Amino acid sequence: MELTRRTFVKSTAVALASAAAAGTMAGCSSLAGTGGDAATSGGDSAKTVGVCRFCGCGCGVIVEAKDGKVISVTGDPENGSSRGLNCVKGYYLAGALYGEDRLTTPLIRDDKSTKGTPDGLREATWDEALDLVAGKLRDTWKADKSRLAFWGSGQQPIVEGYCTAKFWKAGLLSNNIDPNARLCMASAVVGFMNVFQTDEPAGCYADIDETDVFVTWGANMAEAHPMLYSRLTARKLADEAVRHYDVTTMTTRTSASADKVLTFRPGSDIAIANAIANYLIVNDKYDHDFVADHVQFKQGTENIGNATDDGYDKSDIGQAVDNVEPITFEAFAARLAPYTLEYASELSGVPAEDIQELAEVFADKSRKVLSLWTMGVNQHNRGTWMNHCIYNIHLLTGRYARPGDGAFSLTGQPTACGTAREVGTFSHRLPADLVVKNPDHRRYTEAIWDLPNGYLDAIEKPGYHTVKMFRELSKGGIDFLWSAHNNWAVSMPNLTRFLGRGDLTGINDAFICVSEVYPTLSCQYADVVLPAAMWVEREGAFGNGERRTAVFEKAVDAPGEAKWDLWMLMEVAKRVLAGEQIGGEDAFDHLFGAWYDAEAGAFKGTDREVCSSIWEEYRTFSNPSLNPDAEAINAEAKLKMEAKQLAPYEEYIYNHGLTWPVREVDGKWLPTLWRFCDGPQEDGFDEYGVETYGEHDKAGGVSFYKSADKKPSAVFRPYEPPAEEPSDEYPFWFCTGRLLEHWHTGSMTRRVPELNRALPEALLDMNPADCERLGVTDGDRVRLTSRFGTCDITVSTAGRTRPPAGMVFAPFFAEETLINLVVQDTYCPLSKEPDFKKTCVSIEKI
Amino acid sequence: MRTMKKSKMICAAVLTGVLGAAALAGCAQEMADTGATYNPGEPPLMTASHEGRYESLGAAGCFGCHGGSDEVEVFLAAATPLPADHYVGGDASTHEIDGPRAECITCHPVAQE
Repeated sequence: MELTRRTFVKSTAVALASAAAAGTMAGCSSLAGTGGDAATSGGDSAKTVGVCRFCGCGCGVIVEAKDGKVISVTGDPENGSSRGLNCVKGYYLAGALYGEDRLTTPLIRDDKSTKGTPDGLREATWDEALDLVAGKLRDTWKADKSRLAFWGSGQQPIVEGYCTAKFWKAGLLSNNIDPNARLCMASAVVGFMNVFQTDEPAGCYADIDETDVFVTWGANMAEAHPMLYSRLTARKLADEAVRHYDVTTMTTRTSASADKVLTFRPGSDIAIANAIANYLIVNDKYDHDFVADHVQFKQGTENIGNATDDGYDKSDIGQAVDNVEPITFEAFAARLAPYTLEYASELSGVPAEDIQELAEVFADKSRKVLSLWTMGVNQHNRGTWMNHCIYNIHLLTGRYARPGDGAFSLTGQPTACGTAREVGTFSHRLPADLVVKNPDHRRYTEAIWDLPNGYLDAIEKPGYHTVKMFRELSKGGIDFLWSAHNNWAVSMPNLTRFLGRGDLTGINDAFICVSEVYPTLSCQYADVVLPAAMWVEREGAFGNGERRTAVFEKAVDAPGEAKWDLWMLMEVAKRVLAGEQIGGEDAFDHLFGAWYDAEAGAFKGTDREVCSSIWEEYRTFSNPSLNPDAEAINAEAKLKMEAKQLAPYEEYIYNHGLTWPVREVDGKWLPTLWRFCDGPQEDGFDEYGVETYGEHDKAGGVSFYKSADKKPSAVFRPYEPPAEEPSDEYPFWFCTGRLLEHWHTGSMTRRVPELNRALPEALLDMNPADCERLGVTDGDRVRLTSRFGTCDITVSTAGRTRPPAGMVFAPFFAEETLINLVVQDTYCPLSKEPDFKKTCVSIEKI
Repeated sequence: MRTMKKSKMICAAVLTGVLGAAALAGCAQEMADTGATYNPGEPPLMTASHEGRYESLGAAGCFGCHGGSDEVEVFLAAATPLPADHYVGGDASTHEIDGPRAECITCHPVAQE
């Protein structure tokens, strides 16, 4: 065969590509599996199934370990969420385990005056540390349980979150437990509950592959949800007719794929959304059949001010923020009427014709439209309201719960859905969407936890939400705080206040326990640091943004004396509950004895067996037939608990994750991709749910059987200005968020050399015109000052984001910059989620 | 614990056979162009000299030196080639990049040093 130059080049390409691929396949063996025990010594490598431990995408990974160490992490093609894809953080997951300064020994601080410094922590035994933590917790509990708190996370694996919630709510009878998901998803949660009476997205990631038009609202997916953004761009590449509208306050990497960028003045997104809804109604371009079959209309309390002062929640207006009343469609239309294209343009700065163009996109029923949003919408002084406004548009146009045609709230953390929301580690929640204030929900929980009737009435009032918790800590209202799976001293807003405004009064007075894997800034404020096993050093499960539950198997042992968080919890719980009884039995054994031997100080089985045992109890919440008492309450109170049905634990391992509800059909457990959408279960539709609770042949082929009267609510919400606006003293908007390479506060990703090389420093992205006006250039140091605090940072006009004049951006991953010193802690009055996106600042060259 | 599903196992086995991948587990891979080494699965960073290229040229700009096509004869430049799984169907001979892989900077950010 004659080898032409072209075929030579091609054959070389194939050979080289093959060689490169061979590198990624090195050592490929079948997934060996360990059944929950690390078994990677002895020369051969072993592969286990996992899930990335970073963002809410929930990408599946294959973890390869050898000689007790993870040596590679590759994409799992069998994971239905990611189909083998990942991002740079996920591929470097192994490196995150092996930073040089992993915590491997319990640490105790004897001298509180060393708080806030890297010094003052000494090594201790586990018994000494656990006795100290448990003693402080028990003392606080017995003295005044309003002064204890647990701050958890959307990174706390499911069974660990379940046991923590059970210990706090049933063991301690305290609702002072809240996750850092309050900082990212709370507005989405309240939006879901208000509109649909169920906390869940109806769609799934496959919508991205099927839609015709993307609308991103306040979402920088390219940096914060990279795998999903890759699918978005792939969809655009596959069909040149696919369009993308980016509704944003500044140009980001996500804007690169947009056909049109609608850059709006911060806070005015509600005006834009209302103008679109108004345009659809005025021009009779809404879906009459869908509205008639599926939508009820409401309006709520307005003029609710801003939740900046500590007394807001208990004020008259603070107590009324959740109130809504039904209105007619005509009244709803009348409320929207002032929101003309011109008025929205005046408020937002977006040309009226661009808003009209976007409205016409929603009006065109020949094409599918998918709205995607995240922190720009949720971290908003009207975050819940903005969630409502997006749903209003989709409900008016019949674009919800249909493949490729929907509204999808993206999740921030790997298991913000799976743990914080589904398990219920919020201060107002019980597992499976149940809430503490509802007597039927408490009875149902008591049945599954085998508690005496009325036992949980003691927790009928919600506890401290996150901001309240830290406000109390900072002013001496908390005596005991345990934080785990988070880094509050970097991630909380208004750190100037929460770190004690310099005098550390509340921090010094409180006893703070931090479970950690690396010496974070939060450890510098801890009285005790408990070294935790990380990610695949134990087994666990995450629930991602599309309702997919997936297990990550144990691959290696934890280093040194680091321990599974669940073991720490059990050991603290048994000490605190010593001598206590529930229903005449030892309290600890009653709650946790099925999987933990208190006397032996050990679990009753392998990680796999323990996780499976806990999961089987947890999934009873969504399978009431497994518990006769729960089944009776479910039927009598019409709780519809099967609507979120979970499968047996092993099914999640076998299937590399499943999206709930999971239905048993002919002996097989089948997932649901499109919730409330009628169609065959085997094709991913919600056949069982619609058949059991809903109605067939309704408009759009959907039935919202979880909603009151089977009709979700379109709630009119007015535009109101941000909590503060630029002034002569603070002339710039400041926005903070994540960037691709670093996860949250960087405590793990900054230990990975490659990630740190790619993004070594948090820079202040500025508009060149602002730089010229202030006389600063790239590389200059400036002082950022707000009403809340000050920090110093380096200027860049070549950063990842391109803010318009009058706005600046910096990520929050760098503890040496500690950008949250300047960020306001004003929160959405409904969801209590802080507004990280709209603090007003001054900028001064230093 | 289960093993991979049968179909995927077969695919993996076939792919492994086709590629002749007999490398030892955990072998680091050296980049042809930079000499930097990466463990299996770790995507190489772009060198600092590539700053701004993706933003201005897109995936086609990356493919021009790291991929194969009818238009460019790129491997003579000794650039690190794309692995097979970056091509449609996992087949480098297609010379067509797999859609989701076209967002190159998702996995290959630029090193700042």
